[in-house]
Amino acid sequence: MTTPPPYPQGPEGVAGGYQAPPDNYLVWAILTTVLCCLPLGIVSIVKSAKVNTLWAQGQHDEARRTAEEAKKFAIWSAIAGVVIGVVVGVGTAWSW
Amino acid sequence: MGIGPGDVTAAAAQTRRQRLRALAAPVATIGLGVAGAVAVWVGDPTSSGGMPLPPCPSKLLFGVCCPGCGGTRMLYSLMHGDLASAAHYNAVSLVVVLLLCWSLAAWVVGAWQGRRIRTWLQWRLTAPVTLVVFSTWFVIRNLPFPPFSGLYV
Repeated sequence: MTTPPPYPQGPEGVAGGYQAPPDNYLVWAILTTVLCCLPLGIVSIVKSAKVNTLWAQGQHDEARRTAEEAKKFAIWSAIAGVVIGVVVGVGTAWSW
Repeated sequence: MGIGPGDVTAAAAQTRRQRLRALAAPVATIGLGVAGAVAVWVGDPTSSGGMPLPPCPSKLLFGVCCPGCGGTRMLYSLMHGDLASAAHYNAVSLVVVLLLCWSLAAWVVGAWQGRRIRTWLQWRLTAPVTLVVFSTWFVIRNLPFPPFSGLYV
């Protein structure tokens, strides 16, 4: 006689228990996409979107890692945006 | 041992300090936003009259209209109560600005009450929907034929 497979559980043994996913920094991803550096901001939104999906699949460590990457790309996007903005701003003032 | 009136006052003072500290970040953000709004107001990007504001780098370097292009003109029109022009310059950014006002208000209230208030940012589908909307918006406003050509601003 075979034992029936156990009821599916999350990797951390939380059966049906709900934990809030980590902060996915979506607001910073959106802000840096609109205000700063488009390509890096888009990467940040993609990473943010993956955080909740991974969390829902029970891949909590992976979700936390992806959240950190989303934050990193938002920061790089902001830095790139400020650098480009200063260059363009100086150019605008120069030609004024 | 009872709790004296001095303890209550001390606890209240501590709560007040915690609240003020928690409010520092959202208040600083509001300050930045107001500074930006003043710059846009003075700059008047809808005409060539005001102080020159730097154009969007994607438009300047590549000639494409990015999802945020027209954003400063949209803000200027919005601050002057011209909703139709605001929607014309950048309808998506207009919605984003209104949503950001919502989350900013929730941030302030949450910091004051010492808890995190759920807004549109915590909805399950927000991130993927944002991605789809931004990508679609990026593509259609660069299509050179009607009805999309009017979206290039």
